[in-house]
Amino acid sequence: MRQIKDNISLASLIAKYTRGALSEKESMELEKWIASSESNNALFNKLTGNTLSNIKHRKTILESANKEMVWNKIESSLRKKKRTRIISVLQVAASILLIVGAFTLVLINKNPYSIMEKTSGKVVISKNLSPTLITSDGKAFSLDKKIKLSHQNVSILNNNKKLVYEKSTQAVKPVKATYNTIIVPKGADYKLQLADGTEVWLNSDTKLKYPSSFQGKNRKVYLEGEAFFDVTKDKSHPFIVNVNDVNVKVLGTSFNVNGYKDASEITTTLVEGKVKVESNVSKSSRIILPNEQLVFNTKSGDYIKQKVDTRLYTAWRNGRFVFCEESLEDIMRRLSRIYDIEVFYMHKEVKNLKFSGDLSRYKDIEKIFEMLEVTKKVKFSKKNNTVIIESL
Amino acid sequence: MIFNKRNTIERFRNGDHKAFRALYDTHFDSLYLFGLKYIPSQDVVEDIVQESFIKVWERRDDFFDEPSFKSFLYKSIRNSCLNYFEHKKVKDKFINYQKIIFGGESFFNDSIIEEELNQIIANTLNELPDASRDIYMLYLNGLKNQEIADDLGISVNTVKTQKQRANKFLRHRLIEIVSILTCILQ
Repeated sequence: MRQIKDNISLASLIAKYTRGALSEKESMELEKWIASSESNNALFNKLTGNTLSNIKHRKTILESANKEMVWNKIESSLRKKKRTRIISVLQVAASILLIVGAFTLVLINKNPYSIMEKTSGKVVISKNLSPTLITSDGKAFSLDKKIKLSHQNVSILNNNKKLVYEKSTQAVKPVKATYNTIIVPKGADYKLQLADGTEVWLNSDTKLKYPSSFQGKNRKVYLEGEAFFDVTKDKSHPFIVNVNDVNVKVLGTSFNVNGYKDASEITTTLVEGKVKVESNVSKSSRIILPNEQLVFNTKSGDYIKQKVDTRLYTAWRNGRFVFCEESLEDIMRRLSRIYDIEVFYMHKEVKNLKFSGDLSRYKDIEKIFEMLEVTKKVKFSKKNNTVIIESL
Repeated sequence: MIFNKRNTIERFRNGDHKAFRALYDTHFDSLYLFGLKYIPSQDVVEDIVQESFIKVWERRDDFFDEPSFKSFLYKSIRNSCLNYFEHKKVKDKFINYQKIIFGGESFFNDSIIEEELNQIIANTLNELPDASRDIYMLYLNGLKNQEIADDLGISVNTVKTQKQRANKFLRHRLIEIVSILTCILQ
């Protein structure tokens, strides 16, 4: 680390020297460095001595370089490689192909997003368990049925898999915020519209605690699980999602937060806008921009940021189950939330097999198993809610 | 300008040959000269640079910005040069000595600093209008403002203004060296 900083300030000093822009202090610093070793001295002289002749010399060498010819060789090499790569991918793909007749065709290749969909299959979510709404006074309502409640100045409507909060126009004086909780069980998903118009899609096995109306400076909600937010813009009232002591702070934006209780990572994926992720414990924060994803590890306190194709992480909203070169273990973990199953592996090696796919969330998980079995690498057996996986 | 660079890398990642060509054009010079520091043979270095660009293309998914792109190329070229020494069947004590010097971190870092600086200076000179360029060249030869003014028959104020213009370019480019070194030394 120290070496990096030294090299950096060094290059800066030398460049300043060539511009004649060194301060007294900097001048002394540079002289000190030059004097400290023979190689430093030599390097300095080399870099600055006779710069004009350096420039001319450099130009001469470059003139005799075959820049264009080298590029031509590179380009023709690229074309050749393209052809051979396609051939070998097909050979590899033969063992990891997911073909489902009239459904979805998936190939493992460099661009997993060029996946073709040949179906008009509808999205159906299984399970009898319905999401539950728990109001601040402890009353529980099953969201299977239509509800119409009037709570203080807010009316709550539930129709067609969506819960909408509307501020009643007769609101006179601000009332203390009361919190409601929505519990979405495994195998279900739900959509909610908050009092400020913010839309929230809740994935399986997720809990969201939110105020029926927003009071005060911040708009704060508490999440356990996975949700996608489309936040109404309001610069003066930042929207904050609290997940496990991590605050995801936004102004007006679309993003996905994944923070299941059993996982040690909180993943925030940003589609539009700007988001700041802060940890209450480590008192550090990061800002993410569109198409970036931040993974915060609650155990180590580390942040990892990377660019992603946000569709991979938000496809669940559209009733699709998308995975890209994901291990069977991770795929099964996700499926167990959607379908409420328990997974056992007969052969441990199977856990690390990688698959890519873009599938509808089917009524029966057996359909997904069928597709994975086409690869002839795994075999699934299901009894009640238990799934046993063995290798072939 | 920074926005443009971001676009180029993104297009490169998506397999755009034109973007790759643009990156090649921008970075060939410094990489080629860097290679020559290790192996003073233009033919050999041209082959090595060619191979390294092909490698970087194959791994294009790994790069999100130009510094990391450039660091990879520097490392790749260095490694190829060192391999070249390994395979050279010359039973010469000198070859071993070469391996020691060229194999070292400080040679690597110093060479990068040198070539990046040279590139900066060359770019700055190219981008400067004729008047500023003459002044800047005299600068590089250690002349003071008054001396330059006298030499070119212009006012000291003009000299100062043209100085500022050149400095602005330099400043932007320095940030690039910093980024590259940071990437390499991680």
